[in-house]
Amino acid sequence: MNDNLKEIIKDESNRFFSDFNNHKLSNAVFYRIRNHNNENRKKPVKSDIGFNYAVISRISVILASFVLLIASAFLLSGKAIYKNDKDEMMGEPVSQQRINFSDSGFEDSWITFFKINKPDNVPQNNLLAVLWESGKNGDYQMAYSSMFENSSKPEPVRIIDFNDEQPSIAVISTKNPEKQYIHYRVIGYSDSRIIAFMEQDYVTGGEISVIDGVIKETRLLPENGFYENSGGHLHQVVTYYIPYQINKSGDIFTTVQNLKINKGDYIAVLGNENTPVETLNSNLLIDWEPENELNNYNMNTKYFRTENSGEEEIYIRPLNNSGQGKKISVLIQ
Amino acid sequence: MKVVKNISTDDIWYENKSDREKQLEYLMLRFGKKVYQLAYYYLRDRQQAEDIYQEVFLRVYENLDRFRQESNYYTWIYRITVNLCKDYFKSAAFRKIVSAGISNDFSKSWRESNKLFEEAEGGEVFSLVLDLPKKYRVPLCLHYIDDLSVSEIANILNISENNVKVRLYRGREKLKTLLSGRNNNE
Repeated sequence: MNDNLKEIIKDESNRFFSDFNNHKLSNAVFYRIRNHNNENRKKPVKSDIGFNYAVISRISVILASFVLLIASAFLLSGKAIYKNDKDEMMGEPVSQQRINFSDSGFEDSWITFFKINKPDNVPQNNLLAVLWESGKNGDYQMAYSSMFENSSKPEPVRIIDFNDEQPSIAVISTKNPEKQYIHYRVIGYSDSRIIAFMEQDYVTGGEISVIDGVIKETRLLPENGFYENSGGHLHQVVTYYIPYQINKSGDIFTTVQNLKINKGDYIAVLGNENTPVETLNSNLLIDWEPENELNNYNMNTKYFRTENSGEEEIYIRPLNNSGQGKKISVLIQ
Repeated sequence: MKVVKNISTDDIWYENKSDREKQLEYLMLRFGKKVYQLAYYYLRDRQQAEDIYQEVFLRVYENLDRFRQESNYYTWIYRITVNLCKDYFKSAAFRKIVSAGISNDFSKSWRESNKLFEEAEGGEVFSLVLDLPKKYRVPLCLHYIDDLSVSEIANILNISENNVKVRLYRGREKLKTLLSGRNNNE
């Protein structure tokens, strides 16, 4: 094996394992050790090897029920489905991902992407993402679902871990490889319910990734502000979304303390719309209102644009209570 | 924290031997990522690898008093990892899944999702390495990613050094085939 190939394999492996969270896993081990005599010891951090069989069986049943439910709904309304070829099938699962996403921190969740058409039966390559969570009885319940229009390729679900106290948030995205746009949802918990913190559709030239706890969104926007008359002149816009959550005492938690960005990039502070915050900053970060192309954005998201290099701090504090705020240092290169 | 000197290379043995949690914490910090990676090389599933991680260190914790330093910590811990991964493939649960053909589409989509992850978050070449049969990919990963020597791999996998060399050779050949197939498709 030549050295170049070795380097590539090593680099790619390092990248793949870079989000390994030793702290979280070692906590899970200690949790099990300390609950040694507790009946619940096995449940939260299931390591029983037989577990997957049970999960798969249950999920198969749930998926079958889900498909039957959709079929029944259409038959009752006088419309038949499955009448044509496979392309027109509804509810066909195309991808399934097991994720660690729960407000209790340890239970399993799954995200299934179903290929699904609208009732007019026009093939569109729509995907329906369903988040399943294990219920109290060990069965699975639909906790969140969202439709991704005209996009055939589900992307890996990204999980952003907060501290031990706060639940994680997740980024679900799909892509249309031909037309080069993405849709994505940032979801999290609000009083034990899962809600969307932000929904974005048809993000042209879009890419979404999670880097050191921050969501990096890249999109192409027309130079003159209008796709129709842009003459193909598009420029790349990078926005870093800093996720935040507020605990019961009103204190703010973020996943990042230091952020390094390039001049011209955008920053946004993103959280649950029901827990608004205010932000304090100085001149380097300029308040910015997103335009129409950022449809479905969360009304409480704070956007900033950067025009000059330097160091800056953003202070985020709760709007409606006196809980502790959070300071984030930003280096603009 | 005091450290007893003259202990073999990788081993730091805290003076307070009864403080097993501290020992465990150190071992998880020192070897946790490697254990997770090794489990992933075997299972190609992040959640399963996390489960194996927990099982490994629970066993380490339970057997810390019995560890007599006849081998290095890492050999001991890696062997536990390998055995647990092998146990998984032998487990009744795994056989049931395979023999009953439970939800072929489901397991296919699961594999595809994992591959999607590997390509998106690692890269195509790394994903191709993991496409190799288990008997080749594990030694290959240990050698080329984790920088373990042939003799260390032989020790961990409990096979002869010659066997490791053969697997490395065949693994490289198969990888070449996969890479040339990818290049032809481009």
